[in-house]
Amino acid sequence: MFDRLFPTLTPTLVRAIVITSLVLVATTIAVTISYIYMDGIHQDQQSAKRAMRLWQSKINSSVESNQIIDEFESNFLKLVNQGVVGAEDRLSWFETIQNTAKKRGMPLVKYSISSQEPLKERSLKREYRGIDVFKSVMTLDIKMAHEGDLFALLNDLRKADGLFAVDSCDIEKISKKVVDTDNNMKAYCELGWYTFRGARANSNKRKPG
Amino acid sequence: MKRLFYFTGYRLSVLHWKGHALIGSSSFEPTDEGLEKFRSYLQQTENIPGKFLVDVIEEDFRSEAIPHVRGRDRKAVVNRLLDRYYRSSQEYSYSEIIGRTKKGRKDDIVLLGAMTNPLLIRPWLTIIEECEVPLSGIWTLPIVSKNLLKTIKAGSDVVLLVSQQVNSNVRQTLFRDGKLMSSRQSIINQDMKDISGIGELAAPEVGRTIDFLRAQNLVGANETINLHIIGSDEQLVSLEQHFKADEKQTVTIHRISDLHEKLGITGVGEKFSDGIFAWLSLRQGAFRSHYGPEKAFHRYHNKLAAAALYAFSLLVIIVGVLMTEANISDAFEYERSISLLKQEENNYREIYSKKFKDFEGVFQNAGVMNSAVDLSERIKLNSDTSPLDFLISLSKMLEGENGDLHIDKIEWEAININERDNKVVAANFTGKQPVNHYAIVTGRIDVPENHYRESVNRVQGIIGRIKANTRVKGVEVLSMPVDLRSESRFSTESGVDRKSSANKEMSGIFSLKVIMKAPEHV
Repeated sequence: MFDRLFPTLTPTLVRAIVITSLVLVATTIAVTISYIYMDGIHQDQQSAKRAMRLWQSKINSSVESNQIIDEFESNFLKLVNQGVVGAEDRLSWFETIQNTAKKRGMPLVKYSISSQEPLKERSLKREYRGIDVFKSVMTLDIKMAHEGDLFALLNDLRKADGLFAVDSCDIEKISKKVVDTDNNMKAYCELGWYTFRGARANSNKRKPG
Repeated sequence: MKRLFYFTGYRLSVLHWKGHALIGSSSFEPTDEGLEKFRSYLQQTENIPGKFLVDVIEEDFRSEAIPHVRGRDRKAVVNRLLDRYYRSSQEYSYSEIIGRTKKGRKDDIVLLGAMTNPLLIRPWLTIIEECEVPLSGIWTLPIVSKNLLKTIKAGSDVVLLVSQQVNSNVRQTLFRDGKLMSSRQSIINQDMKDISGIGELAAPEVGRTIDFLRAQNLVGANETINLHIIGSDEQLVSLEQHFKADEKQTVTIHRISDLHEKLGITGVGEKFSDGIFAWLSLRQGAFRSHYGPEKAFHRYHNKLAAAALYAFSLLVIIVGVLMTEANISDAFEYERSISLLKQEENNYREIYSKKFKDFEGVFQNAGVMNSAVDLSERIKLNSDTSPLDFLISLSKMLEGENGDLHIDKIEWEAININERDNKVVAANFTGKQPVNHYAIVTGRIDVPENHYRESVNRVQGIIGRIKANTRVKGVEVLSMPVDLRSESRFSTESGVDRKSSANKEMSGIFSLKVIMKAPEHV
């Protein structure tokens, strides 16, 4: 088909082919150079945007942190003062047990506490970043007149410095016949004492404004 | 401007058209001097493309029936026919399928045509080629003339178009339903200066042509022929006198000036109808030349291709300029944006260093504070699930029971119930899952010995009261004062000799497993 239509190329067509080729090359070069120039500046603009956003987000995050501090500072300081954040105050717990036993005339209160272990719950890592949680297990072996003594002891421990939850408790009547003796009941309970530590949790520099 | 080379069998006219107006014409004789003049004319005028229109006596048209085949087969059949009839002028032949036979195997009807003496135009074509004039095609007047049928409203039935392009000839072209069937030119002996007697000269020729057409069976013996005659004003009287309508023919005479008006052409002589066909020829499409080898038109194809390339180049330039402009304006826009962003960044930096920089350490603790307070709240809330809460709830449930019910032992545990498999696990006080009570309650009922039914009823009543509490998720009997379940073993004694048991504490014992939800506020 091409051979039939163009058995010979006339100078007119040759000139047109040459001019078209030159136009194509020149246009491609112009478009490419302008694109490279534009793309380079676009990259610069993107990095300028990122830098600006970095500072913007730093300010936003500072404002947010400020709000968090406003909201949680007093409660947090309370936790620090109560010995929930920082080192555990075991002495306070023992003194509370001794005082309650003495005050209520409880015949026997045996207590022991295990060494402190870090809690390794997965959800903790996910939900509460930047904070390490430790647990010490306390056992109470009590002989008492009635169950009220146990609950008084647990209530008093709540007022001590620390945060605990009762894991288990067995309460049993020692004698099923007599009800008025001092050794009427016994209880064996396990309590978990929780303490938190964060790397910079105790910084005491005042916040702005 | 358009240029037409019009060859009438002897001399060659060159017509220049601008729009619908003929703006100039020149004629050249087929002598050495004429040919030389033609050459010098082409060399001196602008080299614009041209069409070549032939209207010669040495043309033959015939129609043939061929088998209804397509593609290469049809081409082969047609080529064989052209070879048979026009071997010496095959390059100047024409073929077109114009219909199908109505009877038999319905063959295709092909119109064949050719310039039987192409040597007539060769000297002119040689000069055109030598002067490098782009020639778009060689067209023949009989085929071009079918474009006039619409204008003269003769598109259907059998039409014999009679026209005069030069003084000495009359062209008669037969159309059936707008398709060319045959065409012939007759020589007449007309005075150059007086053309008013055309009717007398043309009528016998037309009569002979009609007889020939009927003899060839191209027109049926009784079929009516519609004669459409084109004539100038001075020819009208003569034509009306010598061409009369009868039962076998109708006659319509068209004035050349009227046709010029209908076609909208100006500057054309009204003596003969050559201007009309020249104009129709110019209106023909540029492709599919009637005659001539493709190589004769290569300059025109080159010119067309060059024009297309220039148009493409222009398009490329426009697109390139637009794209470059878009890129550059985008770049400027980005540059402006960069300076604004840098300004904004500096503002933020300043604000940060003034208000917040000194407190970076404090802010790092904000997350920890938040977490510590939240977590301590959660542990406190979960620790409300305690033995005290369980005992208070249990006493409320058993309120109103007689004094003969004794709870001797409670083994209590804080648990989580896995939602997926209902598995009971030790409580996680730091988790989201609610902490439940799990307790094994062991008690006694003081009922007379061997009053089994009463014992069982009492314990069932206790279970019912516990279950009725909305916080209780489940109660399971671990042991009953009398285990009457089919799968259990049971033995006792009864009789007058049997001594009443002194150890009441050992009878009426039951044991229940209770699972209870956390307090409502948790």
